[in-house]
Amino acid sequence: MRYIIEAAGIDFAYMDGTKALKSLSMKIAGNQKYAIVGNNGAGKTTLFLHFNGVHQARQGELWYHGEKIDYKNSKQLKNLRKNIGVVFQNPDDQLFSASVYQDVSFGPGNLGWPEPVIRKKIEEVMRQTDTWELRDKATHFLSYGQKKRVSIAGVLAMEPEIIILDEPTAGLDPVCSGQIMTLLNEVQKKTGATIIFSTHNIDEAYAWADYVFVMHDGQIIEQGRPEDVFRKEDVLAKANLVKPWILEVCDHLAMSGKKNTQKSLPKTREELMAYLADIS
Amino acid sequence: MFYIDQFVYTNKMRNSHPGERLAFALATMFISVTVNQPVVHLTVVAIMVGFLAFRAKIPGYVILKLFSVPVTSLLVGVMTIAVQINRFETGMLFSMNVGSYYLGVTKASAAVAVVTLLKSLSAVSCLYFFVLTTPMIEVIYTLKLLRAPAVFLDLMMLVYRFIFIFVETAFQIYTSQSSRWGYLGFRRSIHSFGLLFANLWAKSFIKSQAIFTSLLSRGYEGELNVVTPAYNWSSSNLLLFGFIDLGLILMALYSGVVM
Ligand SMILES: Nc1ncnc2c1ncn2[C@@H]1O[C@H](COP(=O)(O)OP(=O)(O)O)[C@@H](O)[C@H]1O
Ligand SMILES: [Mg+2]
Repeated sequence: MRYIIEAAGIDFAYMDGTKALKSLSMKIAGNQKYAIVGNNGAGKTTLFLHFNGVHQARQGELWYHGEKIDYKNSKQLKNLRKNIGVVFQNPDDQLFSASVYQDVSFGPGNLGWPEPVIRKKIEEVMRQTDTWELRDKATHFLSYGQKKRVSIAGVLAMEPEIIILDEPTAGLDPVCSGQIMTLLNEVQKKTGATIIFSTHNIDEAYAWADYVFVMHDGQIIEQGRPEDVFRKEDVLAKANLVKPWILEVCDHLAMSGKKNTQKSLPKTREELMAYLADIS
Repeated sequence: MFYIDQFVYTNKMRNSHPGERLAFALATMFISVTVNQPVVHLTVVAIMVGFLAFRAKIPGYVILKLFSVPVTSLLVGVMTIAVQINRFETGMLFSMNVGSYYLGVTKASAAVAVVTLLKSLSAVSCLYFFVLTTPMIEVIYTLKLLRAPAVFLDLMMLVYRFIFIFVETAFQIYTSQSSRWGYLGFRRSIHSFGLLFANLWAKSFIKSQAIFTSLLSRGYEGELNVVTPAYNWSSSNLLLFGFIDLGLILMALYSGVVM
């Protein structure tokens, strides 16, 4: 299998000596949906900033499409930053312009595309993220959820190969979170981009991801399909996580012999209802 | 300041090209300062206030409040022009004796004072017309059209955005302090304010670092390459503005001498 990103033995410490990543290795493939779960301070944000070359590993290597990243090669770094888009956790850290339209135009503007192409792209991504109506508004008068969608539009506009979202649903109400997860599905289907998102909502990761990484204290302690990983009690305990409730229900039914879990497992509330339909 | 910003963003004259409003404001301002007839100045003020109130739909109390600021300071300034000191009382409309001098207002000084007052007021109204119908982002855009240096414009853009983040942060700290008795009594207030101030700087520093990081990850290389929405020139606006300015010039010529 060809991987887009490969990180091998990455070590990173902040200036104050905090070791945020400890010999971390992971591989990211194309056209996939990944979730990274871990507590606050596990190192998720730090890891993402390595993926697009903003932070530089003190030790270890980062490979992009089989090419080792050389931080002195600015052309390679630029290419990396175009293709690995990061949507930051706090939209106020990302929205630097008071104009919504201008902010979305910043990424494609840096790519040096001709203006008509940029305008077309802006409209496309703003319609996709349902922010087109906000284009003449000032950033500081938007709601948190609207800011979040605008910052997603700003990253989509660069047509990245991998879209990384740092806790995209933290601080949003269930309806807004749902909208964001639906949007991510649509984007994934439409562009075939790989999407990685971090969360400490394990139910969300279970429902959405094809593949999950569990991160703890600067390391990946487990990875695999969500239904496998989230059944490992020792991993969950170590990372301070609680088993997804849908999985809990299914396993409970299996234990009591009411249902056989060999079939494909339900991921969402609706799928669970259908799954339960034939229980007498 | 912040609620005014809100009116600016929602004003009803915003949908055409900001350049036409800048040109109109500047041309009218130029007419106002070159001309000496009070009737022209009063017309300019009336037109600008009319535009703000009836076309831009900015609430009357906001306009009134904004005009009260320059009017009070103008009145004080103009007093110093009107009041003259002289050895003789001759020609003074009314006067006051101060030692061997007379402090008073002559007919000529009163006329100069009135003209100066009206002239300044009409110039201010032109300025208000522009800034109240044009959000900061579009002001920056018009400056770009006028070929202002890019560094200057980038800075303006960031500063404008940061003001809001800065004030928001300050209010958050203030609220969190007051909800824990931070501002009960004089001594506690002084102490809390000191903490607020110190932390505001630290927080702003961290915030600016975070913004820089996010700019980098979208390919920032020292210049903010942004595209603004496309603005359309409105020919009916241009015609109306041209017509008004022409009218003002004719009015000035017809009603007396141009200085
Ligand atoms: N700018 C910084 N300076 C010093 N330490 C930091 C900085 N940013 C994060 N850290 C530390 O690095 C560790 C990982 O943080 P982070 O990557 O933000 O975790 P997560 O995103 O998983 O919550 C934490 O212990 C955190 O305190
Ligand atoms: Mg984080």
